[in-house]
Amino acid sequence: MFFVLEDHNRNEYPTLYQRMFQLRKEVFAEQLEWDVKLSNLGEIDAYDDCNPAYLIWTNADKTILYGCLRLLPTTGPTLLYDVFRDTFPNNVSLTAPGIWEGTRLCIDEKALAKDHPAMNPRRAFCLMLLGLCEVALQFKIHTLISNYEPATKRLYNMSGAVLTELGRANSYGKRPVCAGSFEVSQKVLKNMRIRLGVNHALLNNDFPDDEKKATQSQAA
Amino acid sequence: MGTPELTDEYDRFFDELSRLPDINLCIEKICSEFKIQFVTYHLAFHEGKAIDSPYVRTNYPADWVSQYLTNDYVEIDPVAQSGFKRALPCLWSDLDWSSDKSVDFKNDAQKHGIGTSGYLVPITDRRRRRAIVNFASSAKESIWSHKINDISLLLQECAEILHRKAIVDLYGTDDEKPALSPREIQCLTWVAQGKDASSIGLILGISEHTVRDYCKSAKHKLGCSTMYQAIHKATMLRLIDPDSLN
Repeated sequence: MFFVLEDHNRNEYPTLYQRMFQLRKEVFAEQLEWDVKLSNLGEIDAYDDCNPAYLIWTNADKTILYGCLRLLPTTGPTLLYDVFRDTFPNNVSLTAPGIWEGTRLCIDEKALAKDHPAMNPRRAFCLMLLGLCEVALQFKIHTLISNYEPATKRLYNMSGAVLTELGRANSYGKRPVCAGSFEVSQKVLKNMRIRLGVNHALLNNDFPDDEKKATQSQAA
Repeated sequence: MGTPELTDEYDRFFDELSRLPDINLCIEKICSEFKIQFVTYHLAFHEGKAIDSPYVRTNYPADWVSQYLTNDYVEIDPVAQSGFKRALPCLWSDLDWSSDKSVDFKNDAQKHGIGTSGYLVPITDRRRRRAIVNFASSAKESIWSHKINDISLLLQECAEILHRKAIVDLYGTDDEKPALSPREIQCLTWVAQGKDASSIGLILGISEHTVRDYCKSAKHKLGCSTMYQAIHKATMLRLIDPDSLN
């Protein structure tokens, strides 16, 4: 199940929130070794206090988290604007309604392997991007700004997303971090669905049984 | 659908809207342009205390406003209750109207001639000021949601203009001189030379979509509603020099 969580329904899903911040700690601090702020709740920063929306991927009864991502409007405070502005004075200061920032995209590989053993993490990442594309279209977002490691660009390409690199920084962690923009349109959505062999909406739908077949035929 | 052109049919409307001297006039103009019954702009003064001494501008009839205030409906109204906790815009029908109190509130609104179809646009600006803008109509929900699907990005643009008006109204001035990025300056400069997005994309070696994003972003940072205004303002502020390319 892919769905959107915002602060107003935070109290309904306390364990998903807890797990999300823990997962972000595991992925960004421990695996990727990014220089991120940690607390005993996990990886939480000032932007999590700015009423973001989160794209969440869980099992059907919304108890096990598979993936998450944070969405912020670029008309308000954003991570990329504040943190990367000095590194890329040129490029990551895009600010307008219809342009949003997507950050902290991560997947719980262990939880997925347990519930969807046939799906590899790369496909899972691509499905999150597809879910993101759906959310964006629903809310008339036409451009998403995001940060990612250089190797991740391949996953964007694999998913059929149109990613434009805006710049990269070398001083953020162990490896360079890029900032890029991801165009959203019906055409892009169609292309992503074809590439990923998905022929149904992910958002607010139960995860379909045919995913197993798609996963095997893709062998992505 | 979705991708904004460098100039479009609403340029003139946004231009006129942002030039109006008063936020109440803006509200009237938005209503007549989009055939919307009521528009309400609501700025929260204190972060975390959304409801405390707010700045509100609305064209709701006076009797409904006083009914709302005397009954302390702000404590019940799902729009006010959840609006300040949201990031994404939404239809009122997506809010939680399940409690008895909110049903009573809705009925009372209808009695006062207030439509119950609505669209909520939350705003957070760079200085973390939070506002909500509500567009309300007595149209049937099915008709309303179709309409919103077509005009939601335009209404988000209207909401930003109302927010800018409110900030100027409250603080007497717009925020500081905007920091345009070099790419934004390049794009504006080429637009001033009469180039369209696809030509600029070719010149700068970036996609047409990205050119539009830079233009839109520059426009937003300059507090302008149209590219013409943006070029004019950027030229006046000496942020761009359209002759520099000659």
